[in-house]
Amino acid sequence: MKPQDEKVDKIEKALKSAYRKNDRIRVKPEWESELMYHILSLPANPLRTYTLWEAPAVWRTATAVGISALIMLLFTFVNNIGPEYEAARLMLEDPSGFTFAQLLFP
Amino acid sequence: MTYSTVPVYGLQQSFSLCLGVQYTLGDQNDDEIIQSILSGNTDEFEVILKRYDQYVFNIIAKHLPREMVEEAAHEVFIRVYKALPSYRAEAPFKYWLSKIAERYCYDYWREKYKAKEVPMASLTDDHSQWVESVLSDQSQKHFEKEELLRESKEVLQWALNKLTAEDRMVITLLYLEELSVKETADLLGWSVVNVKVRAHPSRKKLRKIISSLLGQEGGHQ
Repeated sequence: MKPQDEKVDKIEKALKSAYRKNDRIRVKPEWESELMYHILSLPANPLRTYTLWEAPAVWRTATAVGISALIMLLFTFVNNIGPEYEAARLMLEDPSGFTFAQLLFP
Repeated sequence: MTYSTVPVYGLQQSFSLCLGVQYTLGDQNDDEIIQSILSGNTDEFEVILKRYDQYVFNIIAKHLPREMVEEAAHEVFIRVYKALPSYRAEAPFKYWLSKIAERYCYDYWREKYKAKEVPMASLTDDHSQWVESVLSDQSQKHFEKEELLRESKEVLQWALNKLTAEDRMVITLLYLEELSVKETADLLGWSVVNVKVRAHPSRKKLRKIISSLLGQEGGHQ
């Protein structure tokens, strides 16, 4: 081992020993009461699991729009008034016209 | 193993203690208290606070400047409170708490380095004398004297401040605390490979910084 390495080892050892001699910092009762005051002032909401209707407004709106779209899709599908039904009807009535329409309005 | 024989304030010992045993003081165990807090009895957080505040103080005191400990511990407990719904009781609460505290310290240093607010104090004649006395075959007891201990800590802080936040945490946990690679990775939320890859270069950097002290021996920066 080089003399330089030995010196570094010695200093490292002394620093490590110093690290282990950490003074204990006592917790003050005032600190505890201040923290509890802060904790109790926080809204209780973060501790609750949200149901759908308690979710923030943006997600509530997105969910409402999504559910509405699903209902409309289901309704058009059941009553044969959706775009699929229209496409099939046009195809059966006038195949060439349907193909032409598809080129213009794909 | 009884609690009275185990020094619970050292992180390593506490970590080992946490692995197999649920740490309880008083009537209720941690999980029962947490369930109660989550069901709306937020006052019960005080039990958790009183049970673990000294433990959190001790973890933080090993990483952050002394004057920052109270503020940091405050933030750690706020984080703990907010994260309670995500506590799954897969590991003991005390260990989960120590992870939050360690990661807070890591975040603290990351922010400080990012904002370039890490104190870069120069070493003084006293520190150079400290290096000289370390090198002059003094016994270990000699360095544990109050005045030399203060200088040792200042030199240690000076050296750690020259490392990055990542290197600093790896050196502190892996080398100074003597935790295993797996424990270090788990506490910091890193992969074991990441810790292994960092371990050697970090130590090398620290040794290089210490070597630079030898150049200043007899004079100061």
